[in-house]
Amino acid sequence: MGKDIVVICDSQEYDGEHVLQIITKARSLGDKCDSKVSALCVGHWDDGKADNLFRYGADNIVFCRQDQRFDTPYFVEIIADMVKQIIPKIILVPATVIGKMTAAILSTRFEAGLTADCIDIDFDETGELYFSRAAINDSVIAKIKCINCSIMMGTVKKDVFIKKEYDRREQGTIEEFTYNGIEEKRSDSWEVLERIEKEVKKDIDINSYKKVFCIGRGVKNKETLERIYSIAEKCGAGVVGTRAVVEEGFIDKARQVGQSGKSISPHIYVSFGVSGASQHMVGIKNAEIIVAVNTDKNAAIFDYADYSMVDNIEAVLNELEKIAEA
Amino acid sequence: MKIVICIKPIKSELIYPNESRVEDFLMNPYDLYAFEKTIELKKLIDCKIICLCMGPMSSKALLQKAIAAGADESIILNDDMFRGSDTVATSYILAKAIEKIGNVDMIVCGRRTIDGETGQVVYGIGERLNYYCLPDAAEILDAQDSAIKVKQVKETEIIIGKLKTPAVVAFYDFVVTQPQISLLALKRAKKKDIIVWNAADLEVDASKCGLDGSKTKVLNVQKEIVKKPKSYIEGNAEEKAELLYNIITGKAHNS
Repeated sequence: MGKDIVVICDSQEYDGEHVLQIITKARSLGDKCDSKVSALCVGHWDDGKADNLFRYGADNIVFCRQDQRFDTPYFVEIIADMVKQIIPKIILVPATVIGKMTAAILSTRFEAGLTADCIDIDFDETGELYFSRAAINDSVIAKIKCINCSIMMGTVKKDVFIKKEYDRREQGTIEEFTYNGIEEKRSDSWEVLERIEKEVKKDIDINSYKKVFCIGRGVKNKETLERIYSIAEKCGAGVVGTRAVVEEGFIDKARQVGQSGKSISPHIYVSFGVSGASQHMVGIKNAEIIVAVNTDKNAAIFDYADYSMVDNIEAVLNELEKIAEA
Repeated sequence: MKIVICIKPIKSELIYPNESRVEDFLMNPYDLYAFEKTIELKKLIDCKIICLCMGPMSSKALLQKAIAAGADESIILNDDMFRGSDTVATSYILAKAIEKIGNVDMIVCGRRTIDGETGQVVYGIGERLNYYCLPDAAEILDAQDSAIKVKQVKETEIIIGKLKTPAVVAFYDFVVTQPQISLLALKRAKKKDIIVWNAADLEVDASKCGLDGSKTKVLNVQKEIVKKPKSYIEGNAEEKAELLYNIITGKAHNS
């Protein structure tokens, strides 16, 4: 069984921020279990970039020079070949689209346990490695262990680990890797005919709102909705909604918060007619102040609210309108 | 063209937490998006669409609906041996079923499931069958016997490309609205048998299925959201609105 920890570096930018964060984590794990940390890279050789990898904790760089543009299947095959030679104990991969694809393919090929979107990786009291990830739309943290396998893998979310320079005593090593495979056959399955740059107009970023008004099923007509929008504008708040109102066509899917929507962390969250199902609440668990208006005294949202207002939504809106306009 | 759509049944309360519904299970919202986009292919090309679903026998209802909505056939993969499969074991079982179906030109998947949230099985299937795997598909624009034209949506660009079959296609988005299905179509669909395959039918290696075949195990799960003590605000609508306004504008001091 292998002993090394390897980090699969990004196919576009092998010393990017995300990669260095993972290298830092790998280094700390490596120190705990006395393992070497290797960075697997494919691309243009660059002394500065290599230096970066060493500076944040890599002991060894396995480098495959590719000066031409290469596609993802080819990248995966090179990495797989490197892994086959090293037979590491742990493989960490950035949780990007390409990283996830690479990890899933390696996990299948090497029968390795793979945890997606890790937010923590460490050894438990018994010295066994575990991977933590948020699950069920961030409502819970699951601790996962690898079983029946010799290679343990995880894709790692961005910004969960902080990169830190490592005080290195010895010089790092560089291994030049030559890929001899002929694996390009699958690459020609996909032929790009046209690339269209997406409009600069970005999706509404509901995460940029410091204050939000959230609409729930209790808002029953368009007129009320319009009023909420207009009051929100006066108060400098953005408008979001639950899945139920998205489904009604009341608001855009890009504004959906909670289960299968987005998570937000505003300073102030005010809900109108939101029942407070946990699938919605997980999306606002980082809101600092929660104000809830609902006619139903027993609505679940009052379990999470800092200010619980049991009242008719229209009545409160009427008054709010008056104040906001004054 | 023979197409297999992989569908994961999801407990309906996970998708519709506020409602009590007659169905125990519904299609994973990402798979539903993939399903709806794939059914549209029928307008472009002569194709056979098979729904493949590993899960409990009560997934039958959602598979019948899939037939009513335009699929040609539905298969349930059900065996005690399959229980507890992680992504490695799941892709093994699904790939075995796809091999058994035979001569499949295209495998369609949703990007991920809303309960497992890994998005790994798609690539696992591609790897096991040695098929090219195309992520982030948004739409199939055109189809011929040996290739399809796909619109792919990436973070910064949209790509139109030609994908040679056989291949795996993963769609990027989800839908939350259940399709409208006519009662007549559903009645007709119910006459069609749903095929059930177990471990013996698939000739799978038992050591590669279920918990035995899984490479990961969930140790424990911790709740992340905490309840707060209830704090009802007294007063009439006017007073509440005033407090509300003061909170929003930062005039109220958090007591």
